[in-house]
Amino acid sequence: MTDLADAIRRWKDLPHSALSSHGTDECCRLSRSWFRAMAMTQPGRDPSWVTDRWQWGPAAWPLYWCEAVRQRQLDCGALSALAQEHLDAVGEPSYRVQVVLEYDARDTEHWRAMWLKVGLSPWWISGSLAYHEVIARPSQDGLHLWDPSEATELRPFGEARVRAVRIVGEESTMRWGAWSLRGDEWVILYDDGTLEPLSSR
Amino acid sequence: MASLRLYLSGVHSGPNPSPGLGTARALRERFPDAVLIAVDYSPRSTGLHDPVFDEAWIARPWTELDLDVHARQIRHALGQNGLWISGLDLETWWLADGSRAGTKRVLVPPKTALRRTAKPAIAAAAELGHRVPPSVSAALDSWSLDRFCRRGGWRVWVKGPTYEAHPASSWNELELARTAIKTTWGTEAFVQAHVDGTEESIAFAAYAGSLLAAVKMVKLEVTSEGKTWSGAVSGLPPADRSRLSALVRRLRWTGGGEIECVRDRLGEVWVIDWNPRFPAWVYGATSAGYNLPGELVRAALGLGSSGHSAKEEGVFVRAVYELSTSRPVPSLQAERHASSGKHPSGMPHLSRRLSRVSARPMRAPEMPGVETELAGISVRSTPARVFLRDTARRQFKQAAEAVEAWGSASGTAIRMAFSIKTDPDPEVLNLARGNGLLAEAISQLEAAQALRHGWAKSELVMNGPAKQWPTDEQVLDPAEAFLWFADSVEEVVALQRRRNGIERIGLRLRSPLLDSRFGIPLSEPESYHALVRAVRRFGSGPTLAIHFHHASSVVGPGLWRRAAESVIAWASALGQDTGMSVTHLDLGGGWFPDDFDAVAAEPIIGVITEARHRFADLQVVVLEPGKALAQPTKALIVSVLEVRGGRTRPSEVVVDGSIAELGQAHGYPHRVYLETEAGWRPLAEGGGRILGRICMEHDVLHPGLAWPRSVRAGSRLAILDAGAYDSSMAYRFGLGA
Repeated sequence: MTDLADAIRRWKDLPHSALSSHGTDECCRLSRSWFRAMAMTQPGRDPSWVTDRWQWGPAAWPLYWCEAVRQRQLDCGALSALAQEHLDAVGEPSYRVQVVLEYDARDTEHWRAMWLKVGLSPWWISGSLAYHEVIARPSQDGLHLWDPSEATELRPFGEARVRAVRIVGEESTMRWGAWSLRGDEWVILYDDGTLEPLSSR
Repeated sequence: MASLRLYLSGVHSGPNPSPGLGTARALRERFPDAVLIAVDYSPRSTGLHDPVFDEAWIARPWTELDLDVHARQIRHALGQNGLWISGLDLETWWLADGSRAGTKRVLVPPKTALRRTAKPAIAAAAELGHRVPPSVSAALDSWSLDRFCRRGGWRVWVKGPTYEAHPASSWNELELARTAIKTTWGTEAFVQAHVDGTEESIAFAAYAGSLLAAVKMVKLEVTSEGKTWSGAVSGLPPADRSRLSALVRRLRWTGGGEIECVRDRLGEVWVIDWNPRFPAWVYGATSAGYNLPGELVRAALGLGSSGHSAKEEGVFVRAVYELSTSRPVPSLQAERHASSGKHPSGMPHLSRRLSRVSARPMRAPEMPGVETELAGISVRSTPARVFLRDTARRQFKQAAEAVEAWGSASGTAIRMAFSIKTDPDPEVLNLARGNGLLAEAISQLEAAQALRHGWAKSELVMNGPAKQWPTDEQVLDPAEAFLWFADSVEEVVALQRRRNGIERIGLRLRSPLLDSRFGIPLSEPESYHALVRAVRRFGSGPTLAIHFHHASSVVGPGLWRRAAESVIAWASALGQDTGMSVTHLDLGGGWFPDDFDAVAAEPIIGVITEARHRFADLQVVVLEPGKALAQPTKALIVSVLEVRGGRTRPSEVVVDGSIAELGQAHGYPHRVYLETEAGWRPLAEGGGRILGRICMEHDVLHPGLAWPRSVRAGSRLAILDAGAYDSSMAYRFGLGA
């Protein structure tokens, strides 16, 4: 748990990733316009085309709209930004979500090497823990966390264990599965299913 | 006390496995001392060799079995200690007949329940609150069947009533699939609309109408045939369980069952199959704690529920491994079993024994009034394509009335344009011109043809990738045309360079929703940026005209509408990014004649309404119902050269026409009339083909008609629907020159 506490301490003040625009130049405006028109074109207005088109991998930040749409590989922050833009274009609400996931340490070692090989810092990895970004889509039965890096729903006890989560939003309480979460608050998720706000530690 | 003997039929374990092996593994866990007997109808059934079984009963193939003797042998085998769980759908149907096994020790549903859950209707699905995708019999006449598939966007499945399903995306594929199913199974297939979504199943066990256990399984991995390879199993939600329990009670179900479903994007569940047996993945449910076969056998023995609690959710996978055999396996060359490699349990043989396919001819697809019109046409020699003037006039008049009504409904000025390439016949062009249609051309030659027929240059719509071909015969400048649609960014740039007072910048846009070689691609940001830059070079002044074209007869009215609306979304973005107004919209459509009359209104009005919402300055919408107008306007008259199969039962005829005159013979069904002493009469469909005169295998002009005895050499046939591309793309072949 010390590792988790240390890792969260490093990541807890990070804002969620956001794509930048080249000021008054039209390159980014047109790129965003193209992206939103593509969003409107998708069957069922489904955002999974984002995952189909951009493979998950290293991306250098700051990342501009005109660069992002032309790349073939983007990291989870960029993919989440695009997925949220898609949902905004088609009129669906969503929230950005920051999570800390636990993997087998052998997995994170590969990712660390991937980032280092292209000259980027693997700051988002700490031992077997990884900082990750997804989006949340509200529905009648609460929030569904959707991971645009894999086009799949992020479940608390899935392939990777969700160790901590923060929904970026102003609402006082939001439901995710059996839990009620406060917006903008990091919470730690324990093996027995209990939650603890980071602020109470 | 004698041991419990459990007979499990259908134990093949291949890529499309039967459930017997999984059922046996589940029962072994619950009844470790029971004698498990594998039953199948070929030594090729691989599960026979699994050590979970104590004994094997390899019955003779269904072709050799006397069904009464087999029933008696089953009764005898079961005695007082045996139970039979069938893993074969057709065997289940056979055993459900009360006169067969005649014992409650055969754990299968009653026949009334099988009928309520049989494909394609699956009537019982409604009682679960679910729908069944629309379907029609594949034995329907071709005209009606094509209509069903076309309007569903050619995303259909051709399915046998018990086994086998093939996807079909064209008339040709459908023909092949329905023939294959009929040949293999001896039964008529049905055609069902495809539903996009996640595949899931409900499996259950019931005894004498009492639901014992039920699970839900969501497929995680499937084989290339769509068979489950991995799945997530969970308990059935209480409301679903309650509905299933009530239904099972009404059906008086005994045995296993599997309800196969698709959950669409909106969450609606569609039932696509109901199998009267456990699923092949039944041991996957057992490993998650839901032992359905165990519960069934306990109930049949009067032991009551085990009360075992299951995990909330479990995931299973399949793996492949080899077994050493316990008995000989026939070689690949062994003729006796060669046909059962794909179906080692011999279900095709049983199907052919149990099925009763009627040979009655199908309805004759008709064209009202054409008998009179054909009677008034004199044909000296055949093959001859004849113009059906009354039909043509009616087509153009009806279309004009429809378009006027759509214009009123959408509050928009709508003009029709006739695509010259569809049918450049002067009679057709004169009708188009006379009815006030614009002319759509794809070359300078076609533009010249339009001008000769009286169209003004300002009434021409130019389209396609080579509008200025031939370059040495220029009759129309882009600025003179009513609309001139660029097919590429390069063409937009070229138009801007020669500008010459272009008032409208015409752009054919390629929707990323559909594959096409035409139009300006939009699926890459670079091409969109290049388009915006090229359009901006025109400066202020010109407006935008947008063209969308895709054949609704291929993609269906639903997808046609979505693709057209996506192009409107792109045009809207383009308008904003260039600062130009969209004033003209051209909707090409490739509408099948019946569809233009019957179902085009809703998608067309919907698209125009969306366009009006997006484009405040929209002035004119152009529609291009080319083949919808021209296709029915001609018939190909052919003479019978030879009748095969004898005078009493003619099976097929050879005619003097060919695919050179009827190039779309395999593209869509054609209605056929026979000239009789009483006049022209529509021919019903059946099993007799029309063979063309040329020596090419695919020169078959019709796949099946019910030939009357009166047909003979010299008889004349009128093959209708031979206008449009049948006419414009006809070629000379096999004529000695």
